Amino acid sequence: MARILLVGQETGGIGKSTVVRGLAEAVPDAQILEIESVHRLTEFKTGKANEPGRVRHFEMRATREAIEASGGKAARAELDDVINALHTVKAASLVDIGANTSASLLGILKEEAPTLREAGIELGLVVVVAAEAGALAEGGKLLHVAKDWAGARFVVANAVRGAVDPVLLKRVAGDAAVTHLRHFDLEEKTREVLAAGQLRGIAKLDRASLTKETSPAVAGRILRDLTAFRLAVMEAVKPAALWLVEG
Amino acid sequence: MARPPQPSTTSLQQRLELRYRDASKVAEEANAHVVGMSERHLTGLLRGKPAARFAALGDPTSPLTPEDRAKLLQSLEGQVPPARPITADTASRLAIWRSRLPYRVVPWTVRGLSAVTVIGLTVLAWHRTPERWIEITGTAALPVRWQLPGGVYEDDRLNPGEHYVLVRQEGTSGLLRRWYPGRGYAEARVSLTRPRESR
Repeated sequence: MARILLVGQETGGIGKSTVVRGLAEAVPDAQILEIESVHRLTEFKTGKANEPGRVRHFEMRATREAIEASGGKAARAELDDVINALHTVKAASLVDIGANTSASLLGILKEEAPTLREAGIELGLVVVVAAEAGALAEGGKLLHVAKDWAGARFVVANAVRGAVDPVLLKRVAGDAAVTHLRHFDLEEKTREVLAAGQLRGIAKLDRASLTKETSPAVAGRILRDLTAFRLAVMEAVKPAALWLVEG
Repeated sequence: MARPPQPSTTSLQQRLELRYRDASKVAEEANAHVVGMSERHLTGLLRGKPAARFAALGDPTSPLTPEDRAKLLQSLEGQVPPARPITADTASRLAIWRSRLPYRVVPWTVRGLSAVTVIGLTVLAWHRTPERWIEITGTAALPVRWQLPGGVYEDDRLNPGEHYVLVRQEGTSGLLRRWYPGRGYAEARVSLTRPRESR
Protein backbone atom coordinates (compact mmCIF):
# COMPACT_ATOMS: atom_id res chain seq x y z
CA MET A 1 0.00 0.00 0.00
CA ALA A 2 1.37 3.43 -0.97
CA ARG A 3 1.36 5.95 1.83
CA ILE A 4 1.03 9.70 1.57
CA LEU A 5 2.05 11.98 4.40
CA LEU A 6 0.32 15.36 4.39
CA VAL A 7 2.11 18.15 6.24
CA GLY A 8 -0.17 21.02 7.13
CA GLN A 9 -0.76 24.14 9.18
CA GLU A 10 -2.94 27.09 8.28
CA THR A 11 -0.62 29.57 10.03
CA GLY A 12 2.56 30.47 8.16
CA GLY A 13 6.09 30.71 9.54
CA ILE A 14 5.72 27.85 11.98
CA GLY A 15 8.26 25.52 10.36
CA LYS A 16 6.06 23.41 8.11
CA SER A 17 8.48 23.42 5.19
CA THR A 18 11.32 22.57 7.59
CA VAL A 19 9.36 19.51 8.68
CA VAL A 20 8.80 18.52 5.03
CA ARG A 21 12.51 18.92 4.40
CA GLY A 22 13.27 16.79 7.47
CA LEU A 23 10.99 14.06 6.14
CA ALA A 24 12.72 14.30 2.76
CA GLU A 25 16.07 13.81 4.53
CA ALA A 26 14.74 10.73 6.30
CA VAL A 27 13.02 9.32 3.21
CA PRO A 28 14.95 10.74 0.24
CA ASP A 29 13.11 8.59 -2.29
CA ALA A 30 9.72 10.05 -1.42
CA GLN A 31 8.26 12.30 -4.10
CA ILE A 32 7.07 15.67 -2.85
CA LEU A 33 3.90 17.47 -3.87
CA GLU A 34 4.20 21.15 -3.00
CA ILE A 35 0.91 23.03 -2.82
CA GLU A 36 1.95 26.65 -2.48
CA SER A 37 1.41 30.03 -4.09
CA VAL A 38 5.21 30.23 -4.52
CA HIS A 39 7.59 27.35 -5.24
CA ARG A 40 9.74 27.19 -2.11
CA LEU A 41 11.32 23.72 -2.17
CA THR A 42 13.81 24.84 -4.77
CA GLU A 43 16.66 22.64 -3.56
CA PHE A 44 14.88 19.57 -4.97
CA LYS A 45 14.79 18.76 -8.64
CA THR A 46 11.37 19.15 -10.21
CA GLY A 47 9.83 16.09 -11.77
CA LYS A 48 6.74 14.40 -13.10
CA ALA A 49 4.38 11.99 -11.36
CA ASN A 50 5.96 9.35 -9.11
CA GLU A 51 9.57 10.36 -9.68
CA PRO A 52 11.45 9.48 -6.45
CA GLY A 53 13.00 12.42 -4.64
CA ARG A 54 11.53 14.98 -7.07
CA VAL A 55 9.16 17.80 -6.28
CA ARG A 56 5.98 18.74 -8.15
CA HIS A 57 4.69 22.23 -7.54
CA PHE A 58 0.96 22.96 -7.60
CA GLU A 59 0.49 26.69 -7.66
CA MET A 60 -2.32 28.07 -5.54
CA ARG A 61 -3.67 31.36 -6.82
CA ALA A 62 -6.81 31.71 -4.77
CA THR A 63 -6.46 34.18 -1.93
CA ARG A 64 -7.94 33.57 1.49
CA GLU A 65 -10.63 36.16 0.74
CA ALA A 66 -11.57 34.48 -2.55
CA ILE A 67 -11.82 31.08 -0.85
CA GLU A 68 -14.06 32.42 1.89
CA ALA A 69 -16.17 34.51 -0.53
CA SER A 70 -16.84 31.47 -2.71
CA GLY A 71 -17.60 29.15 0.21
CA GLY A 72 -14.47 27.14 -0.54
CA LYS A 73 -15.29 26.58 -4.22
CA ALA A 74 -12.32 28.67 -5.35
CA ALA A 75 -9.94 26.41 -3.46
CA ARG A 76 -11.72 23.25 -4.55
CA ALA A 77 -11.32 24.14 -8.21
CA GLU A 78 -7.62 24.77 -7.77
CA LEU A 79 -7.12 21.57 -5.82
CA ASP A 80 -8.48 19.30 -8.58
CA ASP A 81 -4.97 18.78 -9.97
CA VAL A 82 -3.71 17.87 -6.52
CA ILE A 83 -6.49 15.34 -5.95
CA ASN A 84 -5.81 13.83 -9.35
CA ALA A 85 -2.11 13.59 -8.52
CA LEU A 86 -2.87 11.86 -5.22
CA HIS A 87 -4.86 9.21 -7.08
CA THR A 88 -1.81 8.36 -9.19
CA VAL A 89 0.62 7.91 -6.28
CA LYS A 90 2.52 4.61 -6.42
CA ALA A 91 5.08 4.98 -3.59
CA ALA A 92 5.77 6.91 -0.40
CA SER A 93 4.97 10.58 -0.97
CA LEU A 94 5.02 13.85 0.93
CA VAL A 95 2.56 16.68 0.52
CA ASP A 96 3.61 20.14 1.65
CA ILE A 97 0.36 22.05 2.05
CA GLY A 98 0.85 25.78 2.07
CA ALA A 99 -0.64 28.15 4.61
CA ASN A 100 -4.36 28.88 4.13
CA THR A 101 -4.78 25.71 2.05
CA SER A 102 -4.68 22.91 4.64
CA ALA A 103 -8.29 23.25 5.80
CA SER A 104 -9.63 23.28 2.24
CA LEU A 105 -7.58 20.25 1.13
CA LEU A 106 -8.33 18.19 4.24
CA GLY A 107 -12.01 18.99 3.84
CA ILE A 108 -11.93 17.56 0.32
CA LEU A 109 -9.84 14.55 1.38
CA LYS A 110 -12.51 13.62 3.91
CA GLU A 111 -14.60 12.64 0.89
CA GLU A 112 -11.72 11.27 -1.20
CA ALA A 113 -9.99 9.17 1.46
CA PRO A 114 -12.27 6.09 1.12
CA THR A 115 -11.75 6.02 -2.66
CA LEU A 116 -8.01 6.42 -2.26
CA ARG A 117 -7.96 3.63 0.31
CA GLU A 118 -9.77 1.31 -2.12
CA ALA A 119 -7.05 2.16 -4.64
CA GLY A 120 -4.38 1.11 -2.14
CA ILE A 121 -3.38 4.61 -1.01
CA GLU A 122 -3.32 5.48 2.69
CA LEU A 123 -3.17 9.03 4.04
CA GLY A 124 -1.35 10.25 7.12
CA LEU A 125 -1.17 13.75 8.58
CA VAL A 126 1.60 15.75 10.24
CA VAL A 127 0.54 19.01 11.86
CA VAL A 128 3.17 21.50 12.94
CA VAL A 129 2.31 23.66 15.93
CA ALA A 130 4.14 26.39 17.82
CA ALA A 131 3.62 28.55 20.89
CA GLU A 132 1.06 30.72 19.18
CA ALA A 133 -2.67 30.67 19.86
CA GLY A 134 -3.63 30.70 16.16
CA ALA A 135 -1.28 27.86 15.23
CA LEU A 136 -2.46 25.71 18.14
CA ALA A 137 -6.13 26.32 17.37
CA GLU A 138 -5.72 25.66 13.63
CA GLY A 139 -3.60 22.59 14.37
CA GLY A 140 -6.33 21.19 16.58
CA LYS A 141 -8.93 21.74 13.86
CA LEU A 142 -6.83 19.98 11.20
CA LEU A 143 -6.20 16.99 13.45
CA HIS A 144 -9.91 16.77 14.20
CA VAL A 145 -10.89 16.92 10.51
CA ALA A 146 -8.52 14.03 9.70
CA LYS A 147 -9.48 11.92 12.71
CA ASP A 148 -11.80 9.56 10.83
CA TRP A 149 -9.82 8.95 7.67
CA ALA A 150 -6.10 9.48 8.41
CA GLY A 151 -4.17 6.24 8.95
CA ALA A 152 -1.90 8.03 11.41
CA ARG A 153 -1.66 11.54 12.82
CA PHE A 154 1.45 13.24 14.10
CA VAL A 155 2.15 16.56 15.79
CA VAL A 156 5.52 18.30 15.69
CA ALA A 157 5.73 20.93 18.43
CA ASN A 158 8.23 23.45 17.13
CA ALA A 159 9.83 25.68 19.80
CA VAL A 160 10.58 28.35 17.17
CA ARG A 161 8.24 30.77 19.02
CA GLY A 162 9.17 29.49 22.50
CA ALA A 163 8.21 26.38 24.42
CA VAL A 164 4.75 25.04 23.61
CA ASP A 165 2.55 24.76 26.70
CA PRO A 166 2.34 21.02 27.45
CA VAL A 167 -1.26 21.21 28.69
CA LEU A 168 -2.45 23.02 25.55
CA LEU A 169 -0.40 20.68 23.39
CA LYS A 170 -1.99 17.61 24.94
CA ARG A 171 -5.44 19.11 24.43
CA VAL A 172 -4.71 19.94 20.79
CA ALA A 173 -2.92 16.70 19.90
CA GLY A 174 -5.33 14.29 21.57
CA ASP A 175 -4.22 10.75 20.64
CA ALA A 176 -1.85 11.89 17.85
CA ALA A 177 1.86 11.07 18.27
CA VAL A 178 3.73 14.15 19.52
CA THR A 179 7.39 15.00 18.96
CA HIS A 180 9.33 18.15 19.73
CA LEU A 181 11.74 20.28 17.77
CA ARG A 182 13.91 22.51 19.95
CA HIS A 183 14.73 26.09 18.99
CA PHE A 184 18.06 26.79 17.33
CA ASP A 185 19.53 30.27 17.70
CA LEU A 186 21.78 30.31 14.65
CA GLU A 187 24.44 32.88 13.84
CA GLU A 188 23.80 35.16 10.86
CA LYS A 189 26.35 33.45 8.61
CA THR A 190 24.94 30.06 9.56
CA ARG A 191 21.44 31.22 8.61
CA GLU A 192 22.80 32.37 5.25
CA VAL A 193 24.35 28.97 4.56
CA LEU A 194 21.14 27.21 5.62
CA ALA A 195 19.00 29.45 3.41
CA ALA A 196 21.25 28.70 0.44
CA GLY A 197 21.07 24.90 0.64
CA GLN A 198 18.42 24.04 3.24
CA LEU A 199 18.66 20.64 5.00
CA ARG A 200 19.52 18.88 1.73
CA GLY A 201 22.59 21.04 1.35
CA ILE A 202 23.95 20.47 4.86
CA ALA A 203 25.28 16.99 4.10
CA LYS A 204 27.10 18.42 1.08
CA LEU A 205 28.85 21.24 2.94
CA ASP A 206 32.60 21.25 2.50
CA ARG A 207 34.72 22.33 5.45
CA ALA A 208 37.61 23.53 3.30
CA SER A 209 35.38 25.79 1.19
CA LEU A 210 33.60 27.15 4.25
CA THR A 211 36.94 27.79 5.96
CA LYS A 212 38.21 29.65 2.91
CA GLU A 213 35.03 31.72 2.83
CA THR A 214 34.98 32.48 6.57
CA SER A 215 37.56 31.17 9.08
CA PRO A 216 38.34 27.79 10.63
CA ALA A 217 36.46 28.73 13.80
CA VAL A 218 33.36 30.06 12.03
CA ALA A 219 33.32 27.14 9.58
CA GLY A 220 33.49 24.71 12.50
CA ARG A 221 30.56 26.38 14.24
CA ILE A 222 28.48 26.49 11.04
CA LEU A 223 29.01 22.77 10.46
CA ARG A 224 28.35 21.89 14.10
CA ASP A 225 25.14 23.95 14.32
CA LEU A 226 23.72 22.91 10.97
CA THR A 227 24.41 19.19 11.36
CA ALA A 228 22.82 19.35 14.83
CA PHE A 229 19.83 21.19 13.36
CA ARG A 230 19.41 18.64 10.56
CA LEU A 231 19.58 15.79 13.06
CA ALA A 232 17.07 17.48 15.37
CA VAL A 233 14.58 17.98 12.52
CA MET A 234 15.03 14.38 11.40
CA GLU A 235 14.48 13.13 14.96
CA ALA A 236 11.34 15.25 15.24
CA VAL A 237 9.83 13.61 12.14
CA LYS A 238 11.11 10.09 12.76
CA PRO A 239 7.77 8.51 13.85
CA ALA A 240 6.09 9.95 10.75
CA ALA A 241 8.96 8.86 8.50
CA LEU A 242 8.78 5.32 9.88
CA TRP A 243 5.03 5.23 9.24
CA LEU A 244 5.62 6.44 5.68
CA VAL A 245 8.07 3.64 4.80
CA GLU A 246 6.11 0.94 6.58
CA GLY A 247 3.41 1.06 3.91
CA MET B 1 3.76 -3.00 -18.65
CA ALA B 2 5.43 -4.67 -15.69
CA ARG B 3 6.09 -2.37 -12.68
CA PRO B 4 9.70 -2.15 -11.46
CA PRO B 5 10.30 -4.18 -8.29
CA GLN B 6 9.58 -2.13 -5.14
CA PRO B 7 11.99 -2.33 -2.18
CA SER B 8 10.61 -4.25 0.80
CA THR B 9 9.38 -2.45 3.90
CA THR B 10 12.18 -3.96 5.96
CA SER B 11 14.87 -2.70 3.61
CA LEU B 12 13.25 0.76 3.56
CA GLN B 13 13.25 0.83 7.37
CA GLN B 14 16.87 -0.30 7.45
CA ARG B 15 17.83 2.43 5.00
CA LEU B 16 15.97 4.97 7.11
CA GLU B 17 17.75 3.87 10.29
CA LEU B 18 21.05 4.02 8.43
CA ARG B 19 20.37 7.60 7.38
CA TYR B 20 19.65 8.53 11.00
CA ARG B 21 22.86 6.88 12.15
CA ASP B 22 24.80 8.74 9.47
CA ALA B 23 23.18 12.09 10.39
CA SER B 24 23.98 11.46 14.06
CA LYS B 25 27.58 10.52 13.27
CA VAL B 26 28.10 13.61 11.10
CA ALA B 27 26.68 15.85 13.85
CA GLU B 28 28.90 14.22 16.51
CA GLU B 29 32.00 14.61 14.34
CA ALA B 30 31.22 18.27 13.64
CA ASN B 31 30.76 18.89 17.35
CA ALA B 32 33.96 16.99 18.24
CA HIS B 33 35.87 19.10 15.71
CA VAL B 34 34.70 22.34 17.35
CA VAL B 35 35.40 21.03 20.85
CA GLY B 36 38.88 19.79 19.84
CA MET B 37 39.79 23.06 18.14
CA SER B 38 38.63 25.00 21.19
CA GLU B 39 40.59 22.77 23.59
CA ARG B 40 43.79 23.16 21.59
CA HIS B 41 43.37 26.92 21.45
CA LEU B 42 42.66 27.07 25.19
CA THR B 43 45.76 25.01 25.99
CA GLY B 44 47.91 27.42 23.98
CA LEU B 45 46.36 30.44 25.66
CA LEU B 46 46.83 29.01 29.16
CA ARG B 47 50.53 28.60 28.43
CA GLY B 48 50.78 32.24 27.34
CA LYS B 49 50.69 35.53 29.17
CA PRO B 50 47.56 37.02 30.79
CA ALA B 51 47.52 39.85 28.24
CA ALA B 52 46.99 37.35 25.40
CA ARG B 53 44.23 35.63 27.38
CA PHE B 54 42.47 38.95 27.98
CA ALA B 55 42.72 39.70 24.26
CA ALA B 56 41.31 36.25 23.36
CA LEU B 57 38.22 36.89 25.48
CA GLY B 58 37.35 39.90 23.35
CA ASP B 59 38.14 38.25 20.03
CA PRO B 60 34.90 37.61 18.06
CA THR B 61 36.66 35.12 15.76
CA SER B 62 37.98 33.03 18.65
CA PRO B 63 37.25 29.28 18.28
CA LEU B 64 36.63 28.91 22.01
CA THR B 65 33.40 27.22 23.07
CA PRO B 66 31.40 28.90 25.89
CA GLU B 67 32.72 26.24 28.31
CA ASP B 68 36.35 26.94 27.39
CA ARG B 69 35.76 30.69 27.52
CA ALA B 70 34.60 30.20 31.11
CA LYS B 71 37.80 28.25 31.88
CA LEU B 72 39.89 31.01 30.31
CA LEU B 73 38.07 33.63 32.34
CA GLN B 74 38.64 31.58 35.49
CA SER B 75 42.37 31.44 34.75
CA LEU B 76 42.47 35.25 34.79
CA GLU B 77 41.00 35.71 38.25
CA GLY B 78 43.38 37.79 40.34
CA GLN B 79 45.57 38.60 37.35
CA VAL B 80 46.62 42.20 36.89
CA PRO B 81 45.88 43.67 33.47
CA PRO B 82 48.56 45.84 31.91
CA ALA B 83 48.60 49.30 33.44
CA ARG B 84 47.31 52.06 31.22
CA PRO B 85 49.72 54.97 31.56
CA ILE B 86 48.05 58.34 31.82
CA THR B 87 50.18 61.23 30.66
CA ALA B 88 50.40 64.50 32.50
CA ASP B 89 49.09 66.30 29.44
CA THR B 90 45.68 64.74 29.64
CA ALA B 91 45.06 63.95 33.30
CA SER B 92 45.24 65.49 36.73
CA ARG B 93 47.89 64.56 39.29
CA LEU B 94 45.25 62.64 41.25
CA ALA B 95 44.29 60.59 38.15
CA ILE B 96 47.96 59.81 37.43
CA TRP B 97 48.55 58.78 41.04
CA ARG B 98 45.42 56.59 41.02
CA SER B 99 46.40 54.97 37.71
CA ARG B 100 49.67 53.80 39.29
CA LEU B 101 47.97 52.15 42.23
CA PRO B 102 47.76 48.35 42.13
CA TYR B 103 44.69 46.85 40.51
CA ARG B 104 41.77 46.55 42.98
CA VAL B 105 43.55 48.61 45.62
CA VAL B 106 40.28 50.19 46.73
CA PRO B 107 38.43 46.95 47.57
CA TRP B 108 41.54 45.57 49.26
CA THR B 109 41.83 48.71 51.40
CA VAL B 110 38.14 48.58 52.31
CA ARG B 111 38.45 44.92 53.30
CA GLY B 112 41.60 45.60 55.39
CA LEU B 113 40.02 48.50 57.27
CA SER B 114 36.87 46.46 57.86
CA ALA B 115 38.91 43.59 59.31
CA VAL B 116 40.86 45.94 61.64
CA THR B 117 37.62 47.56 62.82
CA VAL B 118 35.92 44.23 63.56
CA ILE B 119 38.96 42.88 65.45
CA GLY B 120 39.33 46.14 67.42
CA LEU B 121 35.68 46.18 68.42
CA THR B 122 35.89 42.53 69.50
CA VAL B 123 38.96 43.18 71.72
CA LEU B 124 37.32 46.27 73.22
CA ALA B 125 34.11 44.37 73.96
CA TRP B 126 36.07 41.54 75.57
CA HIS B 127 38.07 44.02 77.67
CA ARG B 128 34.97 45.88 78.83
CA THR B 129 32.92 42.82 79.69
CA PRO B 130 32.77 42.10 83.49
CA GLU B 131 34.20 38.84 84.76
CA ARG B 132 31.42 37.91 87.22
CA TRP B 133 29.09 39.01 90.03
CA ILE B 134 30.27 39.17 93.62
CA GLU B 135 28.30 39.31 96.87
CA ILE B 136 29.24 41.27 100.00
CA THR B 137 29.46 38.92 102.98
CA GLY B 138 29.43 39.67 106.72
CA THR B 139 27.08 41.93 108.61
CA ALA B 140 28.68 45.38 108.28
CA ALA B 141 28.52 47.54 105.15
CA LEU B 142 31.80 48.12 103.32
CA PRO B 143 32.75 51.75 102.61
CA VAL B 144 33.65 52.44 99.00
CA ARG B 145 34.61 55.44 96.82
CA TRP B 146 33.09 55.40 93.29
CA GLN B 147 34.85 57.32 90.55
CA LEU B 148 32.38 58.76 88.04
CA PRO B 149 33.20 59.40 84.33
CA GLY B 150 33.93 63.09 84.93
CA GLY B 151 36.57 62.24 87.58
CA VAL B 152 34.19 63.10 90.42
CA TYR B 153 34.33 60.80 93.46
CA GLU B 154 31.30 59.74 95.41
CA ASP B 155 31.43 57.90 98.73
CA ASP B 156 28.99 55.07 99.25
CA ARG B 157 28.57 51.73 100.98
CA LEU B 158 28.45 48.19 99.72
CA ASN B 159 25.67 46.51 101.64
CA PRO B 160 25.97 42.89 102.85
CA GLY B 161 23.95 40.43 100.82
CA GLU B 162 23.82 42.63 97.70
CA HIS B 163 25.46 41.76 94.35
CA TYR B 164 27.97 43.92 92.47
CA VAL B 165 29.68 43.63 89.11
CA LEU B 166 33.37 42.67 89.20
CA VAL B 167 35.04 44.00 86.06
CA ARG B 168 38.52 42.66 86.70
CA GLN B 169 40.44 41.02 89.50
CA GLU B 170 44.00 42.16 90.13
CA GLY B 171 45.58 40.08 92.89
CA THR B 172 43.59 40.55 96.11
CA SER B 173 41.80 43.68 94.86
CA GLY B 174 39.05 43.99 92.32
CA LEU B 175 37.52 46.68 90.13
CA LEU B 176 33.76 47.07 90.62
CA ARG B 177 31.39 48.84 88.22
CA ARG B 178 28.04 50.43 88.80
CA TRP B 179 25.60 52.33 86.60
CA TYR B 180 24.54 55.81 87.66
CA PRO B 181 21.49 56.84 85.62
CA GLY B 182 22.18 60.03 83.70
CA ARG B 183 25.83 60.08 84.74
CA GLY B 184 27.37 56.88 83.38
CA TYR B 185 29.41 54.00 84.74
CA ALA B 186 31.30 54.52 88.01
CA GLU B 187 34.21 52.32 89.03
CA ALA B 188 35.69 51.54 92.46
CA ARG B 189 38.65 49.49 93.60
CA VAL B 190 37.99 47.26 96.63
CA SER B 191 39.79 44.54 98.57
CA LEU B 192 38.50 41.07 97.72
CA THR B 193 39.41 39.52 101.02
CA ARG B 194 35.95 40.39 102.37
CA PRO B 195 33.60 40.38 99.33
CA ARG B 196 32.78 36.81 98.23
CA GLU B 197 32.02 35.47 94.76
CA SER B 198 28.35 34.81 94.24
CA ARG B 199 28.06 33.18 90.79
